[in-house]
Amino acid sequence: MTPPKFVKVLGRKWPVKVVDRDASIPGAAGSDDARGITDLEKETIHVYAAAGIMSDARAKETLLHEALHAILHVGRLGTYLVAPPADAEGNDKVKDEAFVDALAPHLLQFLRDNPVVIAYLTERVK
Amino acid sequence: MSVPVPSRIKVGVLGYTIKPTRHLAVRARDAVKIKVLVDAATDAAGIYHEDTPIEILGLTNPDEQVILFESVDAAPDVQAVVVLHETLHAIFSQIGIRDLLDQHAEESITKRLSPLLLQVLRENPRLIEYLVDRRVGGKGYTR
Repeated sequence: MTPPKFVKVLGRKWPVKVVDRDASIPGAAGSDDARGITDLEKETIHVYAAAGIMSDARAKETLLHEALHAILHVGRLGTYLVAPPADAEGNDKVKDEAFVDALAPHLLQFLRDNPVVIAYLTERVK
Repeated sequence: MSVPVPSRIKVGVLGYTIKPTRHLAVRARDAVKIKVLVDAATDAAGIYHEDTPIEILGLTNPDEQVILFESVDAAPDVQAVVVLHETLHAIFSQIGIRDLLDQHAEESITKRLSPLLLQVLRENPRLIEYLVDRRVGGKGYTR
């Protein structure tokens, strides 16, 4: 299954672009193990899966990871996070990364393990 | 809502029972084991007040693998937010995410994240379909 073309966060569409890892993408340079990046200014999610460099499951986890970055940004939730000990500057980007990195795989597993819960949560009240 | 509140959820290796509860307001002294209540009953000076009445709509007890939610004093949509909120506590408990949060911040971030995440889940059926699809392979990715 191909990824969705966008993720809606508070009603705004964040395009999802499946691309090769490309240093021309803002913020993409300098991290060889990055699997995606979310451009918070352009509200665009990039997943580096075009060249088949990651498994299907890894690509899904990456998209959820990047979508969580968008959610944290829109919700201004970075203020509640603390920086890992290695990050002396404590900037929001690093704080978000540690939190999202920990949460994404477990949230994905939760979504997969609980179809009844998802059906309940996503049912809109008429 | 035609889909009832689930009675069980799975969070990692743990199965949680979800129980409807009436009038889930407590005093801190009745639930001192629950960290969120301890936080709510602790003032800015760090002093714990055991007689503080706390209005709550849900509780998660990872030790007993139980989630309680208010079934009378909360409307259906609010209940959905509460169930997701408590589920996030259960996930945080399992993965030890408190190390990444400011002190007393778990409740704050969960409170703000749960309605946002619920809205994202509701607004993105195609995203959910993609994420939960377990088929391996497929047509692959195209630009």
